[in-house]
Amino acid sequence: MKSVISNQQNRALIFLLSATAISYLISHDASIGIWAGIGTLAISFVKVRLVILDFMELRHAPIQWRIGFEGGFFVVSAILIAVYAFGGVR
Amino acid sequence: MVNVSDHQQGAGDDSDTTLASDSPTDYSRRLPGVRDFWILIVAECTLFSLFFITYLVNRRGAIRLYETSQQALDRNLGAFNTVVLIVGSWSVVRALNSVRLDRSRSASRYLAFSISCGLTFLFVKFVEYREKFLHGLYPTTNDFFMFYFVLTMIHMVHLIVGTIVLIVMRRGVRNGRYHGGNMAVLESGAIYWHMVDLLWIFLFALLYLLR
Repeated sequence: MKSVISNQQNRALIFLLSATAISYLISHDASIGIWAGIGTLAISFVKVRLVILDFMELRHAPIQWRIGFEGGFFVVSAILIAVYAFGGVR
Repeated sequence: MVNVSDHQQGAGDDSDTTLASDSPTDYSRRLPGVRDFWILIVAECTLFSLFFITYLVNRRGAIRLYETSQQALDRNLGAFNTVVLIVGSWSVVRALNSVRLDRSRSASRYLAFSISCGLTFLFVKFVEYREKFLHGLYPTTNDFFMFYFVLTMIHMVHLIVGTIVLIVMRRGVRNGRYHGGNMAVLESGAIYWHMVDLLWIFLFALLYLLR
């Protein structure tokens, strides 16, 4: 068990599955209103970042590639959250 | 368990080589796969990012319509497919680690599992589409379903390509074509598969979860 958890990619798998479960659960929670959507999008960004770093192996890539990719998805996630949070009348 | 992280970092930088894995000059940081292939990955991600933003901007004008239409989607199947893709991606990572350790039989088994994950995703997607069509829901029904069908179908095409790539990768592994010092093509195929996973993470959140 210890050897499974000590592996970075196994930890990423466990985190990704847990994050999927959390975003699934909070999206059902109507009591937290708009924060459910913001939380769901934020969790998606964290999941994508983990896929980039540990599955695509950019954690050990030249820093400009890592920053470019992570930064790109950070900007996209920020735009999505802004459009979701400040857009439209319910 | 053998730690392969040092092994993964063994080859050099990406400054002046086509195959990023080949340069011996920088042992601390290495871009996996074929460097030019990353341009395709960046282009694909940029295109999908524009789709995501367009979807949310359109949703702003008709939130009630989108939320009502969203009720017709099966969130459990969407979540199941998300888990399938994540586990499939992890299995591809394990396969690459196995090849680096010259364990081709183990790598072949991991890739076979990832291929089965791809086929499972496709099967579930067809079940979802069939259900929608039986209920008279088509891309022309309204804006939400137009986005739902177009985005998921474009993604599905990428997933089919990714599954074919995995099949080709597995054949190469079984034939002994790849080893620890010859990983660039294998890594590129894996990166494409992970991109398909990565795009689905956003699609799942936007189409199925966001209320």
